Amino acid sequence: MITAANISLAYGKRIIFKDVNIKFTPGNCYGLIGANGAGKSTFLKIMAGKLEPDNGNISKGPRERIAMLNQDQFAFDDYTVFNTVIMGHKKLYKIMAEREILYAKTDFNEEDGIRSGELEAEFGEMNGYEAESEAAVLLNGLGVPEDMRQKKMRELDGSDKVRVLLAQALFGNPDILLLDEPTNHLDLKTINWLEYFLSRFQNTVIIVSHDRHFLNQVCTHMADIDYGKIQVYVGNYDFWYQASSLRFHQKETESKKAKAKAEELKEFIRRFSSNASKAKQATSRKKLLEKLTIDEMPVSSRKYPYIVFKPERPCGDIILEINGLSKEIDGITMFKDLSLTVNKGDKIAFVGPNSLARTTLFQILTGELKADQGSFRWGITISHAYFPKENNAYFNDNELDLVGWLRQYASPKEHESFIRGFLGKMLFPAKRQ
Amino acid sequence: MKKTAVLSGGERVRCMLSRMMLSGANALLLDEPTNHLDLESITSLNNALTAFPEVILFASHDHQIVSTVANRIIEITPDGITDVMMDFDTYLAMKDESSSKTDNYIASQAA
Repeated sequence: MITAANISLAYGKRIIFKDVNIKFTPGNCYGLIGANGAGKSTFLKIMAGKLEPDNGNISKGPRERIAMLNQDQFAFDDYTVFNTVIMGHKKLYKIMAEREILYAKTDFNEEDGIRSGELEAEFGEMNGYEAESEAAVLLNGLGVPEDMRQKKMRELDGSDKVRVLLAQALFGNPDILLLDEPTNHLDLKTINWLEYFLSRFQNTVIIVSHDRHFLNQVCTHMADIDYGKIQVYVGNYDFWYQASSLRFHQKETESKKAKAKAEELKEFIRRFSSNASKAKQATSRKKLLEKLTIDEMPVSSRKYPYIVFKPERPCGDIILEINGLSKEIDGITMFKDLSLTVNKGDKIAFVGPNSLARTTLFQILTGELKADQGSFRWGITISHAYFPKENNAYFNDNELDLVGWLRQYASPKEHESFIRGFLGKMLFPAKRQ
Repeated sequence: MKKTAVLSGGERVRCMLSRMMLSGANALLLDEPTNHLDLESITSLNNALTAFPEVILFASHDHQIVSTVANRIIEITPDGITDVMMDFDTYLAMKDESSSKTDNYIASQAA
């Protein structure tokens, strides 16, 4: 169990947390959610003791161990993969290292014998004898191949380093596990393994993630950071999302009703305050109006952009036909003799490990690349829009402001307000457009 | 006023989505549209893609978007394509089953 009591933190005038009191209990997995900049990662750092709050304290059981996913990919460059994993349990690693030095001594004396007895006892208590096999299980599950395990961390690429650091955090059955974006750079198979691992994990887990499927699979609770407070809800992300939109609409209705009532009263006062016979009634209404507090909607720090794609006209019968398309990039086959017909109403997800093949296909279909062989044809009723993975090429003209940038893609007859409308929907405030 | 040169990754993605919104297109192609986006924007995008009445071709590593938007799954492999009319979770279950069948087959051959 880990408890945060009266945690407050501010950066200058900006309040991040104000008197946060929260208790995280074993057997539960908490998804920490909140708007960008609400302080999710900051809170994890405070819990891990890596950051001092202005006020308040974090307490846990005396023998409880916290493990946090390390974000620094270069921190263990000089260590082997295997040792990096074991270092997740610092005390165990220290004993392991001392044991090794002791047993390598040529002049092993009586004192060393006593020390070795102590070390073995501690080592056993920490499940040291199973450390090697446990590390191997974790690395297997996370897809780090066996021949990589005696390599130095510096020899690994970014995606493999992430897997090793994750194994490090999970190693040694920590009492409290803090994970900041653990699914980043992981493939679907590895994410599934992690979901399975966490669903069987008995201790306390706190996770920050933008992967809703992952949050839904593993979380028992949502801890929502908003207005500088943290509120805990039972259930996974989808449940929280449904419940919070319902609450929002209820409050909105209540607030609308209160406003309508206030308007009605104001109107009454305006009409009758000059009329002597009604003056008394108007005065009492005035008092009523003063008492009526309009429950203003709290200003949430969380904002949802308004995204809606409206086709100007429906698709005709012929959408897209691809015939025998082939493409190689740098001598590697992306696809060969690819044929397919896209039908009305199709929403096609291109999946699988080869993301470059998908990107290449999209680039050919939108005219950014040429195929080596084969052909394709868009139907005459089709107008397509492309969201590329890499968008640098769209932002080469440094002098444009946002309205100017978006205007390039609008019909010249469109008014500026039309363009600003779309930027507003994507939460760009008017003065920054 | 903000010049586009100083936009962050997330802001650029939001610009690109504005651009797609005003296009009025009836066929959308999206390649990893959730990169750099926060949970709220991903949720809004997911809702927009689910509600879109016409054609979408997309690739995404966001499991929930793929499983709630797609009604057809295509996997490009070096030897051709797997092309099935089903949602993503059904596809994963099918793949899982066929791979464990293959494993069983290999095991029975070895025995």
